[in-house]
Amino acid sequence: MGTRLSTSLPLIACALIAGLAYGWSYTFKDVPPMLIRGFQPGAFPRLVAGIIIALSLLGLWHARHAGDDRPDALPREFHLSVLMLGLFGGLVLLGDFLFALMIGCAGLAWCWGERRLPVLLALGLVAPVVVVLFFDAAFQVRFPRGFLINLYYG
Amino acid sequence: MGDILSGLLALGDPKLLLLIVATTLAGTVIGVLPGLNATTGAALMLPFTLTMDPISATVVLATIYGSATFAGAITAILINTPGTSASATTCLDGYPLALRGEAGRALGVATIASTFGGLVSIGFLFVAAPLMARLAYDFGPPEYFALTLFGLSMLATIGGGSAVRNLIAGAFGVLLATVGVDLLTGVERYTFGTHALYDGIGFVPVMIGIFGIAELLRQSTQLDQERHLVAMSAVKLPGWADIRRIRTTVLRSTGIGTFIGVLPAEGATIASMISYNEARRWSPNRDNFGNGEIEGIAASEAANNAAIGGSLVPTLALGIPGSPTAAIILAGLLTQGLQPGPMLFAEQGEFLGVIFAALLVANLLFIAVGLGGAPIFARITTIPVRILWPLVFLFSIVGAYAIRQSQVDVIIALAFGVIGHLMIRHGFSVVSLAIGLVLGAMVEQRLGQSVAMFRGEWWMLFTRPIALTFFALTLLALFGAQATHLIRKITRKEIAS
Repeated sequence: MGTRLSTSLPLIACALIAGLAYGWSYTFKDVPPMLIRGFQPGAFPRLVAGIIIALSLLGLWHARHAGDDRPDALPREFHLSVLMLGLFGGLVLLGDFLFALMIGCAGLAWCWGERRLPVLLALGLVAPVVVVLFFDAAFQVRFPRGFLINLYYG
Repeated sequence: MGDILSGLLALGDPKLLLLIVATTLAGTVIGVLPGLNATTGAALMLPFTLTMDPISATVVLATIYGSATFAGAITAILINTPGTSASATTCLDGYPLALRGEAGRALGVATIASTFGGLVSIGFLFVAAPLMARLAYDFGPPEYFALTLFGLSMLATIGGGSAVRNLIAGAFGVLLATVGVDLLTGVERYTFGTHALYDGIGFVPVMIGIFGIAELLRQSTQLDQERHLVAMSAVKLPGWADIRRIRTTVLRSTGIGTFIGVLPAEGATIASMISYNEARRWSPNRDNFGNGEIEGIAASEAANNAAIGGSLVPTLALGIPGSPTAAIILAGLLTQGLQPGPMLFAEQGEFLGVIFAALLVANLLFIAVGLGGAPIFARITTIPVRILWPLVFLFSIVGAYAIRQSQVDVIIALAFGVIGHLMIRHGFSVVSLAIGLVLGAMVEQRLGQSVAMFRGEWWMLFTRPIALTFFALTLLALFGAQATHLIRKITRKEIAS
């Protein structure tokens, strides 16, 4: 990545996202005048998106003489953690919530260098079960059904 | 006075008293744990508080705020790692003192300065919040809109990052607040047909994502950091000589901290930095700052605790958060269905009294925690992050799910964790995003009401004196520094010619 691109890319991304939001706001339905409370539902998001685009352009203008502020490279553990979060998210949606928590907790500890089996078992088995049971009993939180949660709910 | 009495009487309820003691201890643990601070702690506690009544919930969040900020000094002094960013300046003199074998004295000074700053500021909160709320009785939608806009403009000065990037982050927060079905018109906005987004993006999963999960990812980049605990003798109260030496600094820093706290969006970190610099400027021992000067510790700790009471004044009286943690307290109040402002005090008579009494107890507990428990709490810092953070992850995820019992909220928390990390990495403030999200709905609602009130003639907004004052302050916040710079440049040119 070039010197200035590292500084300006996040701002370009902001402008693009805001641009999409701006364009999308034209798909919002307009309401009859008697229902309007000040302005149409799409007007305010358009105003805010416009401000973001203007600020991003201002940021790019300021960044024209900027030096290289490229952040340091991220370590392997970071990438593994992001992958683990992705795997966890997939398991939450497609698998079992409790199983996802078990994999997520033990997996993160493993990614960060923990290799002791008792610790991994405590983090991946005991802690999620205790926390889920605690939230269920104390706060009446009902967890989504799955092959492990079903063992508890029956 | 009657409110204080009713607040103190409410402490007769053993449940509430136990809650305050428990949250003070929990806040202290949060404050000393690596990577966790008052804001993250409050974000993680937010789901739990939604099962409580509004007063208990606010008491819990305010106590966590105070105790985590106070506890930051323990790790700052004993391991040269500020438990919270507000204690960063405490390291400068606390750790050198600890290395000289005077850790007990340093912690004693920090405890006394923190307690004094905290107590004065909650006194100020009790007096100033109702007065400020009373002023707001005259506010209509235009004034509230201008005030909220002023609050948002202060995001430009958050932290040490770029003003433009902070404002972009804040504006994205406001944009996120528009997601969902518009309550007045029933029109869907940015829901993409997803049923789970009809109610909008919840505060809790976003807060947990940008403060909890994003910090987890940041911790994953710092696994090689080592923490060494300095050996310490017993913590002792400062002697008369020390008290004489720090008294002026503590008084000045308490004033600075309270004032900075009241300013929208500014918080304990900025308060401690300004106080430290002022203490060094005014002190006859200024050359000793950075080498173990107790005035430096006192300045930093008095200010960061004083900022807590100050920051709750605009939060409770006007609904404008005075600090990042106050933004989470505000999010908690709004999620509970409470609208801060004059009506809050009118409808919840004992509200302020109980918060005052709870913070009073918490501040007094700091003395016990600081003097008796510091060595024990400091040992918690030695828990390896590879064990601690998976547990934080567990509580974060279950907390994000528990509010609406929605898997989509879990995905939102994860997504905002990654987004938050990217934002921090590229110099965008996640605090701005949080405050923008909390204030977004208010800005839109009040602007809409104002435009409706003036029958579409929006320029009439500028005909209201109070609103005009806030608009002027907004311009000052946004362009004050540039204007001063320009004036100086022109003046210099004129002198030269």
